[in-house]
Amino acid sequence: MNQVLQYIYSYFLWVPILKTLFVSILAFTNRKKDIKEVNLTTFLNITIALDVIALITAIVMLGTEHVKTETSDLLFYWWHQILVWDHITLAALILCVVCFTIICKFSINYMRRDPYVFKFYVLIYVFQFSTCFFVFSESTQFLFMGWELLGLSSILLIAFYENKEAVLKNSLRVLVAYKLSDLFLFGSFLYLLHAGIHEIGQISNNAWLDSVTILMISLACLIKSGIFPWYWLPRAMEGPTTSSALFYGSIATHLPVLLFLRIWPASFGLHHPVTIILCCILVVSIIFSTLIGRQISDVKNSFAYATVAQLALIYLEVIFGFTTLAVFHTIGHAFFRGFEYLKSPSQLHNVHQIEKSRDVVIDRTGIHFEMLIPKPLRKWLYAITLKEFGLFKSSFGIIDHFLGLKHTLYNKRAFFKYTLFASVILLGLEFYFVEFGHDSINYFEEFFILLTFASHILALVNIYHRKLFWFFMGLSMILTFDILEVKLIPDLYYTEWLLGALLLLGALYSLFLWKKTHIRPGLKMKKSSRVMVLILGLSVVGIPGLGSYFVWENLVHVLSQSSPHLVLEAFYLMSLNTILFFVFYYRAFIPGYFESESLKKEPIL
Amino acid sequence: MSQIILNALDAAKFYIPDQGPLEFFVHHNTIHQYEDDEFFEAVRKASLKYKAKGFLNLQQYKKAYKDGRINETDLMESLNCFLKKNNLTETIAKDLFNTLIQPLTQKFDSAFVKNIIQQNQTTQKGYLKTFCAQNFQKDIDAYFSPTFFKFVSSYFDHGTAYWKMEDRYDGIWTCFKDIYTKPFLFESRFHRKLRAALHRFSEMSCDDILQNILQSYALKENEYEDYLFDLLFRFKGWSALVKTLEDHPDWVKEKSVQINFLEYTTVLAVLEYVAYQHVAKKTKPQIPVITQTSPYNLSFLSTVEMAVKNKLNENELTSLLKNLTESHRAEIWHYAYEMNLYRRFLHTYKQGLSVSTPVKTPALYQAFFCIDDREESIRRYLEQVDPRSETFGVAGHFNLAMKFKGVFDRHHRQLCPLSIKPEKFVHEVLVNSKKPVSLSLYGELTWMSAVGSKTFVRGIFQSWFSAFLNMIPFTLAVFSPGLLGSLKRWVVVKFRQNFKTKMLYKKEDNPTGFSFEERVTLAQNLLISSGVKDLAKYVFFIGHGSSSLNNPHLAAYNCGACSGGQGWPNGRIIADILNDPDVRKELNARGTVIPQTTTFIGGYHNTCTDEFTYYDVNLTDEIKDILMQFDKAAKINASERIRRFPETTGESNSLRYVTGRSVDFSIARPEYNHITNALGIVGPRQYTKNLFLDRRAFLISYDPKDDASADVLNQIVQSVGPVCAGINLEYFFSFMDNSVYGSGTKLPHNVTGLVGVMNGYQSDLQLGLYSQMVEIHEPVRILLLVSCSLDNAKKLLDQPSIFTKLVKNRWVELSIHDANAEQVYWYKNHDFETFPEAKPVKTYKQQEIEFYQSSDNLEFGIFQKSGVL
Repeated sequence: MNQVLQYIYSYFLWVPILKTLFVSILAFTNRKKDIKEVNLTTFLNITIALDVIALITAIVMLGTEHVKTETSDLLFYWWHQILVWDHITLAALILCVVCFTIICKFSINYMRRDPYVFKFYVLIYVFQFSTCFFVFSESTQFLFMGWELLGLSSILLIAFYENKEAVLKNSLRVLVAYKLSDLFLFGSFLYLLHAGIHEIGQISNNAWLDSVTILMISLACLIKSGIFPWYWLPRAMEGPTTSSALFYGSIATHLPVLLFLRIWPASFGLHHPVTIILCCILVVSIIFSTLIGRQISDVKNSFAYATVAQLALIYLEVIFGFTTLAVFHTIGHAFFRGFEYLKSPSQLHNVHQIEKSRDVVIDRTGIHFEMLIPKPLRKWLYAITLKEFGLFKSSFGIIDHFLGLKHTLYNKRAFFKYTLFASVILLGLEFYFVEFGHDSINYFEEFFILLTFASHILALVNIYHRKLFWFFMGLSMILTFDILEVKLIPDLYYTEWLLGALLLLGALYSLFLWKKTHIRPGLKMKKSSRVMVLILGLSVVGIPGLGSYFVWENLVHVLSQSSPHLVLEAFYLMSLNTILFFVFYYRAFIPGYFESESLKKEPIL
Repeated sequence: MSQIILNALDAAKFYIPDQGPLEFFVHHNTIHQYEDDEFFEAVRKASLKYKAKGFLNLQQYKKAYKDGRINETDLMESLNCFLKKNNLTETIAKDLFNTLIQPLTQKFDSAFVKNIIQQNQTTQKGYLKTFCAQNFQKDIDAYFSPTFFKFVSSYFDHGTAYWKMEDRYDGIWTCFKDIYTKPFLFESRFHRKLRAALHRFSEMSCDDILQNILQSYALKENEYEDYLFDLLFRFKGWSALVKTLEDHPDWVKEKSVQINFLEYTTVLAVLEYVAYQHVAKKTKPQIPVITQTSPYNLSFLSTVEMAVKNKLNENELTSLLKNLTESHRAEIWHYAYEMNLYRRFLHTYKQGLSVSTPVKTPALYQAFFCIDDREESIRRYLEQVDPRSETFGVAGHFNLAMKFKGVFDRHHRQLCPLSIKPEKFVHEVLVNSKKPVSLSLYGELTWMSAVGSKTFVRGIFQSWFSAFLNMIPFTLAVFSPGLLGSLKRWVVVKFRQNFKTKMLYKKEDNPTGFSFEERVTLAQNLLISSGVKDLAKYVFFIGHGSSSLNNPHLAAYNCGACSGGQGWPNGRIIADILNDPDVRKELNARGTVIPQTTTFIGGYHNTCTDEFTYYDVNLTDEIKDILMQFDKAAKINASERIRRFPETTGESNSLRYVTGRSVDFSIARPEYNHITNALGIVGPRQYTKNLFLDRRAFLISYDPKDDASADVLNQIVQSVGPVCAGINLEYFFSFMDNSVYGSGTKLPHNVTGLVGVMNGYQSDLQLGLYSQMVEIHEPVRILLLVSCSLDNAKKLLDQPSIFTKLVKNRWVELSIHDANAEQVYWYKNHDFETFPEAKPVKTYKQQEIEFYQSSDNLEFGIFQKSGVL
């Protein structure tokens, strides 16, 4: 059985990688696009068939058995990964493969002749790859890798139609929400590593665990599912309908539930403070999202809010201990929503069908609302629902301020706001460690952390100056790693000072250039160069699977025992780098973003 | 004082695009506001006003030249036209020609050219948005557009929301005030300011508010119009909807919604006002912000100057260079691009005349189709498959100006061109049966599932059960749409057998119907205008429409002459009218003879599935045989159609394949609609019968022999001309700039309030055609070829009318075929020129293999010989 599980795992690990490679190569081959698309169709049909065969094999061979095994796959040869197979894994695998297959098949026709068709498939294969870790992995660090990759493919799919400004803005908003959930999850996993726990399964069994950790993981799951504290789900509806169905209707929002199922300790009971906090969040979330969902007047958003309400209910079911029910609810709901999203453009057709066949007039909806609530109150409720209860709207307002999304150009105010928000969180982390941390704080290290942060801010300041941006961004990354490395090999302390000096020089140079910095949004680049920039950026900011990530994982592994706070701070800085990189990428490399009228494009014909 | 505001608003409103709700999508000229100008001038003006592209890129034209799509003759002729228009000597045409086709490598720096460029800058005015972007680096729209979009989409919602806005009867401004003056604990700063502003404005009338706001910006009165246009056009989707609904109140199905453009503008202006206060605090705006852009290409102008310097004096040179902006350069190319197509067609047409043979009379049956370009091929195949047939093209509403309500429909729908305001209401009713219970049950179930997907408690049950119920049909739909299509069709046919319907269109049965006199007149007019003589034993009237799923723009696929409705009721009713013995008797008395043996049959052609339906038909063997011929033609037609689709891979059963497409959720282009349309031919079928026109022509039947006074012709071109031009120009502009005139790619579209589509999470409504609908279009103006005498044509153009305006301003290219003089004339430079002798053109076999394989536009051609297959 162990062997079978390993084979199945290898299939779902390797095949998406190969698929990604194939599609990328096909995209850049020098053929007519129509012919390439025909090739792609053949390829997709074959892979769909293979996926289904693999799924059937898994169901037949493994069934509902409970299997746990260790693998040392080629990809990550120096760590052992623990794989698990039980009824939750089975459910998750069925969900992923069936939804993925149907939507993939659907996309063959739907995405035809789209200018970005290859990008679409590359991204959904990255996504499929990430789900593999979600489904099979018992090891925390691998699961986290899947978690991050899922976020990456998701935000790149939101920014799918990259020539539209609103799309890129929403992609950034969701990115910030994702990064916050990453921070929560990473923090708690780090703490678990510190406590010597590597496996998800062990979390719920260790009753002695800090309830803060459980709360953090839960919050990470809720954010990733789009429940708390931001309803980012509707804002993610920017990609093609199929990607909305795949990510937000079915798989991506439902997978965190399965993680939650595994970690939620039944021993908590109903009176535990964590239970109460979560229940409050979920109930509020349900009420708000159904109210908004009833009142919203476009199809995709109304589905999105309804999805949030049902997801919140699923979490409640888990908390109250109805795990089997929750699994069925998850699967059923994911299928149902996926289909519904795919069918959403048919709404007019549906309305006509209903109008024709139903005996009663359609208008009479919400009657019990009218009976229960007096009119003034009802209108007031309508008004505040239309304003999204203020609270949710302002929470997105914070992100907008943070990223300067209302600015046409990054100016001093925008720089200032970003720095303010970012440093407040950094100081908050510092404060937390000083007050509650168990390990001692080394002020030199903290100084260098601040230097790294400064480098990051300098990268932001030079966002319109490509070379300097890359310089500071790279420096910030190297400094982060160096701080951790010095922790391991104290003899290398001089490298920190060297890098610090380099930073100073760079800062002086950028000061010298300050007045001369030209604002150059909307650089027109070739498609292939843009892809190269993206890959370069992602490897600098440490996205799993690319360049620096291996170093990073190793450092985390070693240092989690001795100085977790440093690792967490480093992770925070890397998250900031990721956000900044995307801001830079969208602003400078994708045509169409923020072309304010003062810098208006080519002469109009 | 406030009258100034209202006038300014009217003037601004005039330039806002038009588009009704999705259900009433009617093709029209996208920039019809500029119809009084000459075409290219209008394109230029519109491009400037709407910040849109009006032509292809120069590289695309150059590529067309390289590929032979434009040849030297075209370009030279286009240049000559250009020079003539600008009163310049044609001797420099060759030099200009060289500069046009050569790549611009050298850079010349001529002070003369620089001076001209300096003096002729285009000025663009920007208002608050530009001002804020320049002075505060902030996007003012980002502050208020989320509030605006949420509010208007809720107000104009026609049934998406389960919880609707209340008291919409009070109008949009009152509702807006009502909602945004309600205090709330966690209000954002913007909303707090909005509330304060609304309190301040609460007692004022809308025009006073607008005036107050405009005065607070210290705006001059002559700037009001431009400011308001700038504001309204930034939200062009919603503005267009409100504007159009104000003109067509019957399109508002949700009766509580009050349409008022002034109130709508007030809402927008107040929001912008508050956003401006929010961004700029107390700074007074200095608007308009004037930016100057150069419409010229320095390098090109310098090259031209070098080339023609010696042949022109200074004044001429100045006037030439002044008129050579980038868009003029594109114009020259574009006209050549169009002329190439026109010339190819006219050669083919002329060649076709020499081989055309008069129709063998009498035919066994005649079929009246819509003039639609999609019916061109089915007519061609029907005639080829069965020589006993004869086809005609008349506008698909068959002269019935009516509103129609189907048997289970809830609302009436206009089934005649938009320019007609029908006063007749026609219903379809059940005969001797009740509404089937199964249908009501089906309705309840779909309703429950629609509500359940949005509400919480019902949603729980739905997500438990519905997923597993949906699984099989949906998987089938994705993996085998053809099978699902056949299944659905089987169910529908079974279901339809259960009940019979009839049409209540006579005034005797239905007080709002057609009186006897009206019926006779319209039938007579129809028969006369189509030029039909010797009615055959069976006469079919085939309306058309389309069906597809996941397609919010479905109405755009239906019959244009029926205002985006399906044309079957028209076919059914006109056949019924003509079958009426009393009507026939009266018609005979008036001189339109209908033989005793003639039977009229109403039918419906679904252009997506290529399926025919017939109404009230008594199936004899002979009729069955005829219907089989229709099906045979439909099958070949489907094969020709599917060659264009990118998804197609060697389909053996074309009919089943197209049926599958119509029920396939995953298809983004169920059919290609009017794509590639380029021609309109008004004349007898005998001249076009031997031509292969590749589904690119509107075919209108007309016989000049019976119409010496050209009265019938006048009627036809007045009604058909603008319709064809509207369709053609909508495709033209949607193709030229899909992001401004069109609605972008369909894939992220999100149906809003059942009235429009927006992109993704939240955006303005998208106007025009989506990119999948126009992707293989060739943007050319329509060439209308009218078969009539030259004198009649001149007479036609002497009368002031919409059609004349379109022709004289070159929105429609006109050519005349004078059968008596055996000449073809081309209306160019405001005069008729004789078209030269025909060149040999491509000849095709019937059902040439190319028709079913190549996905490109095929060359026009003539068929080797007509006859049975």
